[in-house]
Amino acid sequence: MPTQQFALERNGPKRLEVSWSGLWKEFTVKLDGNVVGSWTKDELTAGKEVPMGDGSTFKAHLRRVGMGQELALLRNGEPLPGSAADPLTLVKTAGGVIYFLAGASALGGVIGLMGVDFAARLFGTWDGIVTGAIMGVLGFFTMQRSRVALGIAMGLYALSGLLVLAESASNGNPAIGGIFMRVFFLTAMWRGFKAMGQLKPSPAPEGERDRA
Amino acid sequence: MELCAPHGEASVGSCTRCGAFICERCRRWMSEKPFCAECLKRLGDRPSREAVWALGLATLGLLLWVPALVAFPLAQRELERIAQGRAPEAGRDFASLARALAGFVSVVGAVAIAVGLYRAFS
Repeated sequence: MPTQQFALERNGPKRLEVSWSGLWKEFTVKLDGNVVGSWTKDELTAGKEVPMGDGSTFKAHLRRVGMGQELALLRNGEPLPGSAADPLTLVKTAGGVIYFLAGASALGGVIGLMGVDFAARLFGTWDGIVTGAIMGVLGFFTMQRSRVALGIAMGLYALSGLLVLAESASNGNPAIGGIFMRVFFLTAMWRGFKAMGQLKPSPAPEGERDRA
Repeated sequence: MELCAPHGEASVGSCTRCGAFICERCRRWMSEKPFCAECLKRLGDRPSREAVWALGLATLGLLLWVPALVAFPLAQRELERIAQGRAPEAGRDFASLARALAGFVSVVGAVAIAVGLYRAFS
């Protein structure tokens, strides 16, 4: 039975537990070990809201995002910290995707340098390593919430995908599988790009506000 | 009943760093531990310089390998400092990513060098 735990406040103790069985059956939410509510798959797909007992409301909603699904967990309409719809999680995921592509490209380049023909054709040799380093730099600035870096990474990745598609189509064998993979990664990056606009600066500590 | 100093309200615990009583209003969290607003302000809400350097060196390691060897222990030490409440939580993602990337680059680079040396001397 898959189980995930979340904090109600960012970096706070993980008091909320969601669990389900199979393909989103018997979806149950517990707060401090006490059951807050349970959802059928239809209720989860439609999005159902329940009271939490502390005056707040909790909503679980399984929604379609791009080619996949996302489990949105909202308290008073705001995503729970660390949940799939949390803007900070989306930005981190975008940074992680760029680093993954950087690592894959650099690894492919190293294997190509070792003389493995397949890797050399797919990633190149030194050019694969340099591409990996460029993507790594863009990933570094994406982690620092630079929309420009994330935009450039998306542009480069989309452009390289178009070039690969054009080249493979000219050989009479379009790389369809590769397109799906690229759309998947580009969706994650695009969601991170949008989420950067929603990130608010951390609020000033209350003591500071009180003195103001 | 213990009261928190800034608000004079009933305390719900004490700060992990300075031990001051804290109420619901002034309680902040870091690594799932309670802190007072003042201590969290001192630690800051941005990744530490060490965490950013660790990720920067791990990234540079993609091209030059050696910086990744430095990044790994730096990231590991920073994660320990965050867990102890001595460095800002905001650096956790940087340090975790730096450790993973530096580990990966170190191993791949070491294997590549070993294969290169084997080929050169055989």
